Amino acid sequence: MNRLEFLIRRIVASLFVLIGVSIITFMLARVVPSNPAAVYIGPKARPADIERVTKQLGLDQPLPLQYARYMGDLVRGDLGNSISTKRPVLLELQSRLPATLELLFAGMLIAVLFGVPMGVISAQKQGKASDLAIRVVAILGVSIPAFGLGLLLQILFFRWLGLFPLSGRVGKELRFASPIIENTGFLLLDSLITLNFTAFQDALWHIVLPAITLAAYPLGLVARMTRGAMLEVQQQDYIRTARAYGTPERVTVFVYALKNAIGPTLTVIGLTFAFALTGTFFVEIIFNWPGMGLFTVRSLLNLDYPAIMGIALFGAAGYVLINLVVDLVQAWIDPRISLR
Amino acid sequence: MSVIPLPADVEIVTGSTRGAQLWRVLRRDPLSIMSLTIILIYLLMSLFAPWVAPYPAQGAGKSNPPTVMLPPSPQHWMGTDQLGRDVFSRVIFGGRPAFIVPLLVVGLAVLIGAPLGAIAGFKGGWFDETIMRITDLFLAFPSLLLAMAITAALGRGLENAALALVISWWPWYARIVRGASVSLRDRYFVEAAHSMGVREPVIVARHILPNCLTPILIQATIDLGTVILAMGGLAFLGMGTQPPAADWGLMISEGRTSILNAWWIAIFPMLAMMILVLAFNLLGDVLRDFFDPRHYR
Amino acid sequence: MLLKRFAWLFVVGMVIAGCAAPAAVAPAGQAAPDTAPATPNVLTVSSTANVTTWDPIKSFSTEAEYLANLYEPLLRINPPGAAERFSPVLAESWESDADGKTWTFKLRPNVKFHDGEPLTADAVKQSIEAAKDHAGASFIWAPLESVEAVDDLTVKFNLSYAAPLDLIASSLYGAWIVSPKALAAVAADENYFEAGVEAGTGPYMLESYTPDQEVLLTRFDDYWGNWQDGQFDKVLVKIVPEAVQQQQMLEGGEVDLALRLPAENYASFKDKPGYTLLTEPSFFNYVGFLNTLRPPLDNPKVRQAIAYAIPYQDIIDVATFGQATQARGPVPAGVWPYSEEVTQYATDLEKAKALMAEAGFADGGIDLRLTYAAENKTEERFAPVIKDALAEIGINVSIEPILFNQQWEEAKSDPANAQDMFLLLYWPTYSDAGTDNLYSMFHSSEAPFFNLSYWKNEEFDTLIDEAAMLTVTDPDASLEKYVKAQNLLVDEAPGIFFFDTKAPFVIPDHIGGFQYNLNYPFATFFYDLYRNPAQ
Repeated sequence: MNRLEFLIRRIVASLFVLIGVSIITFMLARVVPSNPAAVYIGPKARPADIERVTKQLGLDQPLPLQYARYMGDLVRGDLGNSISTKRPVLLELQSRLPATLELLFAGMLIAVLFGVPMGVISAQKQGKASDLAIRVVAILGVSIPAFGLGLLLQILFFRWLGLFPLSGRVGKELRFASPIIENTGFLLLDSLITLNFTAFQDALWHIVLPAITLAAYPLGLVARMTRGAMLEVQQQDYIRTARAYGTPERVTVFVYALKNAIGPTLTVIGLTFAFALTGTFFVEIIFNWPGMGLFTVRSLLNLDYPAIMGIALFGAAGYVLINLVVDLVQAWIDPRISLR
Repeated sequence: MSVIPLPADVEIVTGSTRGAQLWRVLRRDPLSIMSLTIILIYLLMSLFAPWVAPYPAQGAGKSNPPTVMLPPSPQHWMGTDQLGRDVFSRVIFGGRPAFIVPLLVVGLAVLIGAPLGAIAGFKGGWFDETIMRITDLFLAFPSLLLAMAITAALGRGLENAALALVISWWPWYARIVRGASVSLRDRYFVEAAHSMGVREPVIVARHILPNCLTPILIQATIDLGTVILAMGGLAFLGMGTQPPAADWGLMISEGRTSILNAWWIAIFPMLAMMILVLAFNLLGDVLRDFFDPRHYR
Repeated sequence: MLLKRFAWLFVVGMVIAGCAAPAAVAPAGQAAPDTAPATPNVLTVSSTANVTTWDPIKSFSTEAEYLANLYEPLLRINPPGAAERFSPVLAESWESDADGKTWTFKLRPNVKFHDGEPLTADAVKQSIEAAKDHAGASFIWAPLESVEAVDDLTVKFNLSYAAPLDLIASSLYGAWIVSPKALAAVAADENYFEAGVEAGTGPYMLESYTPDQEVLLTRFDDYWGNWQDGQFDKVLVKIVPEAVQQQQMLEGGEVDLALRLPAENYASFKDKPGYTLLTEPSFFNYVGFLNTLRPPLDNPKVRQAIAYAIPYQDIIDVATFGQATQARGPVPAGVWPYSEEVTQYATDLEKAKALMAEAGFADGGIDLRLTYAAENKTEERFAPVIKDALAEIGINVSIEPILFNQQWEEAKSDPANAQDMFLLLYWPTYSDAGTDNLYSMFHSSEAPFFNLSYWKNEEFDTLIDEAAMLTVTDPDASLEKYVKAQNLLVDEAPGIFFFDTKAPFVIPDHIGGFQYNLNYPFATFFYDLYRNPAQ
């Protein structure tokens, strides 16, 4: 099977998955024992108003018809209007996606930048104190709930040490002194492009705690994974040969060994990337980070079903995409892996 | 959430030999002994919560206005919460939804996933295809998002949250067992049974499933930490256990508003959760090293 | 060697952290120098208030926090104890004829909407007609028959029966006057306002809105009330759902004003230097509906037993940390027709047990199901106290938190099989708890709406119907009937009246002018506030 054929098959399969996801979420949204119309108007609405809105939202139609209508709109890029904000769901998702992605990238960057060296060192010093320390940190990372870690970091770094801001994406002073001109919605990027370094620093300082909180779990996984892969690679003949030839240890480890250990590590990075997506729910709540996670939780609590469906589709699409990319990259790095 | 591939060269041995081998390894590893002890203590305390907790009524939710938000003391080892309830008792009672229920969730997910996966792998064809596409569908979601959506639709509460987690987790086991089942399908003893005219369900139940037991067991142990965290997350969001019952995730959420002047309300349940998950992760590591020394995950 | 490099990396990280740290902390403590003309005088506020709609006609929720600064009604009702009952806003004067069925309002001249349109009688007519037609709170205009624009600045309201139109016109919801241009635009496109558009006459304009994040208001230079030194040029409201986070922001100087702190932490500000703690009466109270359709709660004796068994003070302590008073019926203190003559139950377990015995339940054996709104943290705290108290008189209560909409849906759709007890946080839409609280919660009706005790009592119905008709023409007679009705209600006990909440506020010393008006529970009027000159 060549790569193009593989790619096409995967994309078609992904489309079917997304259709399935839309059916599941649609069904889930409709078994909710609550009247979306009543939610739409708010408390103290009169029965006549509820009836009017029920008609207006098309909730009096049979289910398959409602689904067909939803999918029809979806194809045209219309995900309907959110019940709780009354704005188009697509707009809500678009406006929140950059915040979540920025957090996600920052978290993964920390996880990889620290996780990989930690894994390498741990493998190098197998059985020594540093190995033990790193393993403990790694396993703590995957054992502490994100909402708990976030709380602890806030108390430690905001309340006691005053090193980092409590929550949000930018400070209030900046709002008027040197506002960020938004192009991409990624504040770090936007402030850099416009050479607004004060704003860049402020945005950077705001993202540190949430990113660390988000990174804890992936960091633990990546470190453990790298360690395992490195240990295995070090047994290989070519590493022994390199050592025997007197190649500098640094080169042996970072050039020969790490290169061959990176494949499996990448798989884990891909997996955890998707996993970190759910981690953002808690991190965003704790740090009042205005992204998708905060919106998801709010929508779930309000039974805002157009929003829930939009999020589910968005989330599933992202998940499928990440997995696809990981497979492709892995096949590219290591052609021995067959394309299933 | 990693999945252990069954090594291609898996040796087919009976469960008991393998178990004995495992026990020998665990016995010699201090970390494993510690983890097992912690898990056992948690299990006993949760099961016998009404007898172990110093204030069982408060553990179950009874308020006590005279002792509101007292710091830790000899009477209340972990202090009291906003309703005057003993936090230690509530941490013990909280182990029921936060630990026992995830145990049941994983058990149920295995019970659903394993037979489906075994049959799918053994029979192949349309049945295999259908099951695998369904699992694809479920695995296309982040499990927690799926569980949250299901709980939101079914209504909040421990039962629904648990059900939602079962629904989100069974496909993983179906996947693992299918893989093992496929590799077993062509083994001599299965073929022998087949040719002797043994009916298919019997082959699956007698020969395939028992041989998948070890990978299931390891995967379940590793998953338990994740499921406990997921359950805690649902409770934290208010979608799991409902007050006045105790649950670690819920207690952290309740304690959050008072964290500035009564840190103990949130911190102790968090520690309780962390230590237990840590124990499962440590144990999972050892199990993995034992069964699949070359694995990476 | 590797470890060394790793350690080095870590140190660099810490150094970076150390260097920039002051940037994160310093500006919080000290305000920008007042001399710089470019820096606006900004008030930063944290609030839990989300925006469910920017449509001032439809609005019936927490967005009033912002809308009340963008839009204005004809008049406002003052808090209890003020010299005048009402303050003129867009109306300069008003009067009703003797039978209370015709009301005439003279409008303030030279008032401009933010979109440049002038305030005219026609604008008022259109706004009120739109409100009566499809406002979230359209029912407040039920007595209205027609609105006439007599001349450019005179509006006449014709009512079908005598009703207190001054109270109605000062309602928080459904009484804002909107620019006719915007009304025409929203008639063409239903979501016209939702992008963050507004067209009011208020002191502030909406500059920007980021959902779940912030609302930025900026002052309207042509405001009819004019501007003085110290008032704020801009108001930045940060939407922070967590009370404890708001407290951290207030104490860390990230906000000037935090509108919601954790209930248990208010007391800690009592003697804290730099802050003033205000505790104001509020519009809110908590009611527990008892399902009177089904045994055993169809028996008044059982209901009374429950009313006697409730530990009111414990509930207040646990749920509000003392920031509440025991309720007298469903009318909150300070709101018409509240009266000290309405009786209260005092906690008395012996009496409760005796009543249970009289009703034939000496040995208890009653199972009841109580529902409350899962999103309501106050109810979450006191529901268990009810459970524990009723266990004392042999009633076993199972508590069920459900999202409010689901809870309400269930209670309305099938009363005979619905919950036994329903906890509800209630507030009147405008300052008349007679036609709202008493009527909405306890008047009988064909289909249940907010009368979730499903109670039917003809004497009560007649009393409050008559009282409502007399509110304008003979307030004393009206109050007398209302008191009689409320005492009947309390005695029959179809509901348990827990407590009237108080609204606590922590005001830092550098903010002046804060006034809470219980009649506008979801609003903070930023125009009243100013920055105190530094001491």
